[in-house]
Amino acid sequence: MASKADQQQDVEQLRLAIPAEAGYIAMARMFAGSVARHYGCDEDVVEDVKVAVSEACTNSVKAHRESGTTEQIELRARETNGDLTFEIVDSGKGIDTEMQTAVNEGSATPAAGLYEGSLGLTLIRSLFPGADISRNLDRGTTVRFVVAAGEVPDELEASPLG
Amino acid sequence: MFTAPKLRERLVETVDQGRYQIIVNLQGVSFMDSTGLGTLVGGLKRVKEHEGTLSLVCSSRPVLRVLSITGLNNVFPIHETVEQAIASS
Repeated sequence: MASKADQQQDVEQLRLAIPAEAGYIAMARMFAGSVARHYGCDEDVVEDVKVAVSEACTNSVKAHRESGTTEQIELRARETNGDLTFEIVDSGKGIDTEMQTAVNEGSATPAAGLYEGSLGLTLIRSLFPGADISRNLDRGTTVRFVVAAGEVPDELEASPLG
Repeated sequence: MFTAPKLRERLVETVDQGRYQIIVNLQGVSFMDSTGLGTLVGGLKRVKEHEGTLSLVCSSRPVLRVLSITGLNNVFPIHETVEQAIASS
């Protein structure tokens, strides 16, 4: 029999997989916004989540295109003790190690990013300073950031999506 | 990422027609990411080559926030209405 913690994890782990095509990024953005809204995030935070997810997915689509992979990009959301964690996981070529260090240490500036293609990642870090951008062990990149959830409604129906 | 190519195409076309005082009306835009920002910066670089200007009309809070976070609110003149943008150009 699954423990209460296991059951809770099953219920609160949300996933959306999208084809690695630009036309589906808006869908991921809407999904992320709906999840953040459902978990009681402020509307400003909801907008920030949408921007961060859009940036991450945009990079993932480019990475998949460059590496020729046809796998899907996965967006995961999980609420744990008032923290709402978002993960965008792709199967592309993986973030360049030097870029990963620069972005995570904050030395990749938005101004530099405009011309070097890292603006999306620095924008994510600007919105969520604790965001982590990591090369996966096998392949691809994972972008992870955490926001504070607000008051969560008892019933899903109480929080209309959209 | 999805609509930015259309904007880029329109900006290039406008500059190619010899129009270097450009106002981009973002009033119908509720969301913008770095792809859109990069397109606007590209347009700005093109008009600057001809000593032109590129102004934005925008009152959307999420869009203004992204412009602010990236510091681009100090790069582009931003107005609340098209009339104000025309008056100041």
